Amino acid sequence: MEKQLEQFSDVNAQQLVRPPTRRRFRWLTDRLLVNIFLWPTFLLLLFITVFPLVWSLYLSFTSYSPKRDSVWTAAPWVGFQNYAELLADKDIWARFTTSAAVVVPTVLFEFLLGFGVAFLFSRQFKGRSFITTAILIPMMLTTVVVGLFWRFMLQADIGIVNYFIHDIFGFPAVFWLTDTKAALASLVLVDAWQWTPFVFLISLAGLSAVPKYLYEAAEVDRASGWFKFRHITLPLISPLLLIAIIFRLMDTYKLFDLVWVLTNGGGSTNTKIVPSYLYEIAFGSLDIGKASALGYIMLVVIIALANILVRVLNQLKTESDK
Amino acid sequence: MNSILKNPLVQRTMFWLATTLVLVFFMFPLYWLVISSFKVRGDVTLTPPTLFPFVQFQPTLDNYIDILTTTRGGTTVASPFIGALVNSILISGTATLVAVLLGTLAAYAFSRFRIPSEGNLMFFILSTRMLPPIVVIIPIFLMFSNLGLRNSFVGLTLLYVTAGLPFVVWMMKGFFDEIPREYEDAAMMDGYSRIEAVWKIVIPEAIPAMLSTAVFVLITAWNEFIFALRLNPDKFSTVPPYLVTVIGYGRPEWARMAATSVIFLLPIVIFTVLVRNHLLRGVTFGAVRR
Amino acid sequence: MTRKPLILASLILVCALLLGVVGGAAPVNAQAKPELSIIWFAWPPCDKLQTLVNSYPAATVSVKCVPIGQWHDTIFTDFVAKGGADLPILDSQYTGEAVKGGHLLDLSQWMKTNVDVDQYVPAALAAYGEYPPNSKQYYGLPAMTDVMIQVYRKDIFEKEGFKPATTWTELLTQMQKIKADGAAPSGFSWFWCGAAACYDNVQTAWNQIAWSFGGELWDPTTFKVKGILDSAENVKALRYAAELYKTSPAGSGNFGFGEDVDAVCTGKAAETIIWVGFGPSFTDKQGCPQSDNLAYAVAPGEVKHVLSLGGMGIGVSSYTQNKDASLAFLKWFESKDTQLEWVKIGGYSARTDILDSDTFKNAATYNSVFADSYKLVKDFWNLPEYNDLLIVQGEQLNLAITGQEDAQIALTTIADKQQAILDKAYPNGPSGLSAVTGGEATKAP
Repeated sequence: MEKQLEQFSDVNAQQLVRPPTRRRFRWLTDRLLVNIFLWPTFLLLLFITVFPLVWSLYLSFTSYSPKRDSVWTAAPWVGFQNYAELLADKDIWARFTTSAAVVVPTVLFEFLLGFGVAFLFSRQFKGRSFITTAILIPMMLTTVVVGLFWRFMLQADIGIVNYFIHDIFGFPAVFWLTDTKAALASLVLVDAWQWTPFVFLISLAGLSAVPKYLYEAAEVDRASGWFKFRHITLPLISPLLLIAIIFRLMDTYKLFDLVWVLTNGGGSTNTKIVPSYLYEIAFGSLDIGKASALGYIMLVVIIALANILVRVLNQLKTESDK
Repeated sequence: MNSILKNPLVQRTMFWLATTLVLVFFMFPLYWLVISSFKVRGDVTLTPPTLFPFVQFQPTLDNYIDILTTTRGGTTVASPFIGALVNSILISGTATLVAVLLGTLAAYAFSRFRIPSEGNLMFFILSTRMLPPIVVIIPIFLMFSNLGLRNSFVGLTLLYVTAGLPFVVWMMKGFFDEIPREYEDAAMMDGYSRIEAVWKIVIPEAIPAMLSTAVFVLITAWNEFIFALRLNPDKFSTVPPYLVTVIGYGRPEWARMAATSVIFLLPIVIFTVLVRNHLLRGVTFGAVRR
Repeated sequence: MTRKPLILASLILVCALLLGVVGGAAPVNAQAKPELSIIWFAWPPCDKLQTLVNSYPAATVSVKCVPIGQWHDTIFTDFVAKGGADLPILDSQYTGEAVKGGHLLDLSQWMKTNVDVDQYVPAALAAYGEYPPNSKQYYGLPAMTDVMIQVYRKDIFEKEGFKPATTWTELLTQMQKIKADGAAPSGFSWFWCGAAACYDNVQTAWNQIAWSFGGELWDPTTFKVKGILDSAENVKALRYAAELYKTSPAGSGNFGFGEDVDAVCTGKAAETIIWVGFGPSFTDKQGCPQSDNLAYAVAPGEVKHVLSLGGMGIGVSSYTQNKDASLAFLKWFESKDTQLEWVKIGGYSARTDILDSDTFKNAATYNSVFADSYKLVKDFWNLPEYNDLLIVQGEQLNLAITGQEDAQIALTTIADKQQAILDKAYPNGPSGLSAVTGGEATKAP
């Protein structure tokens, strides 16, 4: 900070040689400036996010389908019919179940592995920063590409994964992308490969922020390793871990690209999660009204979920502040 | 038993064993992808697989030449992949530039001025990031179709700008909050107007943060699939939808897929290494700082 | 004071939008040679078509080949956006959906004077362009005809003393024996995938078994599915397919055309039954290691001998900016000379004068097989609801065939869902079929 201030005064000193004209840009008051700075952002968000959302809320109460109606204004208002039909449909519950069968194990797996690796790497060792950076690469990669090359690796017969499982270790080959359970497992595996680094990164930050003296004090009391973890580490980093979980929950719930590329639905409905189903209604059947309604059901679920988690997070934060 | 575990040598061995396992899990797929891209077409599906270049197989550049060029009417010309790549670079580049510019200004306003219900507005900006793309794509598709923004450069760019804005605002606000106000105050005492102070004092200070923010926006736009697929299928189509078609319709073209992927992923890997120290902030919207 | 920035920002936004509008509605080229576009799905004939149209003198024609899983969605989302290719190549069953949406030009009058209508197989004209059925209203002309044929390993068949099967039961016995003997790692490979991404794979594969076993998919005169699709014959046909699947390569439950071709070409499977349009993938000696060992035969029947109709029609989009040029191209494409060139390079024509010609018969080794097979074809659901019916069918068939669900339950589920789709769309039965046209080809735009 000190140094920065010095630099700043250097800059200033140079400027002082030729003082700026006082009158320049006087019409540009702070109030005007705030507006100029803020409005482009808000207009874009209104135009590309809020307006479409409002429009699709309207459409969800109509039976609009370009198959039947030439323009959206011609679509009849049907009230809650789309919602009623969707909620009464067995399929939609099956899709939400499939979604849960992907989201829950994925987040759990990513959490355990990510935290485990962070715990492993929380000490200093040779090559730490290099290895850490290498591990972080997957989360920046294009999901479509990740899906493509994992599809290559998970092929039942020529895939390298089954080569290790079957030919090297002698276990029965897994029909990764086709079998009901294995197709879901493939999604969990690949998403975990890509996003465990995310949990790892946040966990690592949390772990390195725990003050050393707390452990030293516990050392004096001859506390066990588990005791230290349970009573020092965990309470301090749990808010951070929860942030990681919230992000991952939301993102796996929205998962679309990976399913599209990796399993193609697993030959059938095996990996047809809610977003895939929504896409099908929207662009396969062109049933815009129904698709918009499903979109809003998705939104309500995600908002409810986020609210619960944020509440838990705030509770954790107040607890750790005590 | 316990004593064995306490032995430093055993501990070290176990530590490096675990570290190796972790590295293999995360790195082997990428290694496999890269070496597959240098194999001849038929060799990528060999069992047992060939794992070591030069030892087990002779690397070849055939796949790269194959995907970058195409013959039309007897002459060799650039392939559709090049066209898609150019579109990807132009669209995500422009989007990043605009998003970082607009977002930085907004972030500055949030950081320095009293804005009514600031907390709500910031949360509103953040909440747009939480929207599942699949939910908003329907109305955006209809809207873009009606406005003639489908299959246009501006349409997809505008979309990526909007997708990047929340991130830029949150990241840059966190950053501006860390720059002492006294900098500008002092400058304005010296006779600068506010806009000059921002331009001459604050922005130069903020450039490193803007650059690392830009990298994240760029990668997000670079990676985007579903909007590109449904909104820009013709002119101005980007690489991700193209990639899905590389496998082809006959025997799956895994070697070509690998080569295309390597080219497309390379910039991401380079950028990731460049911003490695900002990754934490980047992935958490600036919520978590080291 | 606060209004100024608002106006400024709005101006910027409006400018950006205007730019987009200009960019989006690309101005029609004032060039002498118009540019036309065709959309199809990615498979060998699509590449061949590009070769063919390169020789068209009056316009620059580009053929876009999208993955099969995106074919329907791309064409119809383009239609919704009032854009897309000038000349979309539609699957035979899309006609209803496209016509009802007003997306295609009515070619009925135009083709009387511009196309040798009498030269065509009448069933083909109906299948690839007529809607509603038997209305004599045409919205498309045949672009490609297709049928599935047996592609088998003659070396293995010789060793086992087999002849190409004439019934499905015989085929199953052969495949089981080949797998048991280890003559090939597996017996019969097929595109068993039933997910939406695989389009009509397992459906067209299984439908012909059901028809041959004596079953039906629905009753087009009453729009009844219940009691027809879930019949005992169809249950038997589905159980049969599940047995055949057991001779297939490991993990073939999500095989599409590509994986299927791969399985036969690399020797993993001894046989497949696949659309003749994929023929070039097997005759390509470089791409297909087993190419020299392959032979072709008519696909089997059972109590009846019925095969799935393949092939597609080509229509003119209502949204084309080049209507006259598109029609001129269509006239050229459907002419005898062009069709002759088309079959020479691997296309399939619906003109009898072409199908009977020696040029066609000698163009590929399996063309005589095609000629025999094409007499046995049958189409299904030429309805605007086709895509919805198809998805339901594919998913359940795949589950039953791969042993994840009982055949009876699967068929009952399909019947219930399809009946619900039809009942919703046609509360009054078949009389609800009607066409809204996108304008006639002969009238001014």
